[in-house]
Amino acid sequence: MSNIVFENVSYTYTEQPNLSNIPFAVKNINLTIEKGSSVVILGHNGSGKSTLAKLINGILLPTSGKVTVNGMDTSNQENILEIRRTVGMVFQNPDNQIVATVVEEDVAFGPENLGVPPHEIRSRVEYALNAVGMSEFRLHAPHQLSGGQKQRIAIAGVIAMKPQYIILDESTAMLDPYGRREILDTAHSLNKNENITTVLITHYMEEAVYADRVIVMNDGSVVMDGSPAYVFSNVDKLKAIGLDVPQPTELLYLLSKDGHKLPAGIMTVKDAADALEKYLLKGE
Amino acid sequence: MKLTDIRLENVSYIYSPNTPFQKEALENINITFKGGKLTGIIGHTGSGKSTLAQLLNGLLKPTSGKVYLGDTDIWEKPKEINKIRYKVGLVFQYPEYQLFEETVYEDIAYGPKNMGVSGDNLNRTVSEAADFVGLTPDLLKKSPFELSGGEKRRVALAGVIAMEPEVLVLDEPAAGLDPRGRTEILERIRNYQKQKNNTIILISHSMEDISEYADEIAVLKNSKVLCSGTVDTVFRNAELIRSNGLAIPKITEIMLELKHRGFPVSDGIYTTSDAHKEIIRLINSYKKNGENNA
Repeated sequence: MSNIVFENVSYTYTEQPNLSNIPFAVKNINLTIEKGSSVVILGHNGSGKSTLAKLINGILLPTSGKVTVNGMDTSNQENILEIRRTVGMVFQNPDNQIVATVVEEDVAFGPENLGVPPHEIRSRVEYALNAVGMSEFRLHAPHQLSGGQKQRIAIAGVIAMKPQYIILDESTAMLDPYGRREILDTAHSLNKNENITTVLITHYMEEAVYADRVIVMNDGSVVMDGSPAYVFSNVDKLKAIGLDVPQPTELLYLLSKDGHKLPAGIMTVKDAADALEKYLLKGE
Repeated sequence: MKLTDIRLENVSYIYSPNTPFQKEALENINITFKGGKLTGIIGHTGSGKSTLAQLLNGLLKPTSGKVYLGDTDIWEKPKEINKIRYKVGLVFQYPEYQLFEETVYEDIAYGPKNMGVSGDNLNRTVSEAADFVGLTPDLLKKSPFELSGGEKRRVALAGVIAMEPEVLVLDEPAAGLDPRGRTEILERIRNYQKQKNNTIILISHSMEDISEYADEIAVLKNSKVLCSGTVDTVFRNAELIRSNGLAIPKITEIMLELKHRGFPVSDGIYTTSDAHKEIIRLINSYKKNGENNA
């Protein structure tokens, strides 16, 4: 079994789960994330998206229900080490994830802890730095790198442990547009070239455009699940839960509301221009 | 209410001068931030935006050149630079990390107290500032650490507003907030500016936000001002901005693309609502043409 499965999963941060009316961070989640896919989980603050991420690799354990990674139940303590080897996680703040004073030592930290033999560590570090495009910085001090570069080092540290899945929990939130682009391109390439399943958690709509699948969370539940085109064709629903849509999507949505027959779910500048050109030339 | 310009004249700033780490962060900057206007500063990380912010309220002293607040050279009396810092309020990036008092009230009151404000005046200025950023009175008694991220950020903003600065400089006030939080804080800033008629300088990475909220824009690139002026003049140089690796709003890109394909699209469209109107105008004119030809 190569996937991540949520079965009726609920989680609450309160310590008295027996009381009625307690707030659930996520409730009754049923979800399967297939190996090899690239998934984006969208939602505003407090929607439960980060809780979902932390349930995957056993940082949090379900209050009720079951999470399995490749068939391993996260609530079984014996599985935890193997699950964390299988699912790597990158967090929000690049400055909180760097442990060493030289880039390559930082990347080697994970595999060293796993007891990987030294010669293999070397080759893994090389492979990981290459995969994130940071090989030339191997001997640099991490604190002299930009936010995006630091985040790529954090990703390399995770890749060096050879995970099958990588979860990026708001890893782009503190970066500038250029740094965000770096991380998205890196995640994309890991998915396509290294066949690593990527789960990207974000509140930036534009980051969802190139995913295979978009899951929208609100108030602890999954409210939409499908292709980016499907999700972004539901502009009303997204707005109702406090999410934005990309500007091209918004423009075509406004025009459709006026009764103009334009396709829904358009996300890029080029597609919007194509659709508008076609519509204008028809002159209806 | 007086409108205070803030002006930089031939300003350069060098970090760690005369050491191997010497780095010129700003090079010969000449720019005026107009009184009563909201000016957006945009540029890549490392372009000098945050250095500029710190020069405006005298946290950094120019290596050469002058900073004027109104007609006053802010470094004329270096010992009185504190007075300038009260007049030019600076809200740092991620200001919520700087909250430290036991209650929200105390945190907002910290700045005005240091300026010697007390009693009823202090109460008034704190509650007015809290109101501007949309913090309800019941939150004032809470610990800042019980609040959400967006609320904490607004407490930090209120702490600066409470000093009633003539100029407010905000370094990435919306960074890291979700769409709802971002709109909320930017709307609050705009309303504050409208009511107080203050000079506001807003540093941001987001062209979309800047084009929505700013009256004027300054684009920084490699320690220099690449271009500046009204939103309209700056985005008329869309090609210049794009060729320098900065994004223009997606909506402007669509309009430029349509123009490029031969459609008579007007210039100067930077927001979705303007684009909406413009496309409707186009659709109607094409419809007429279609009818005439038939």
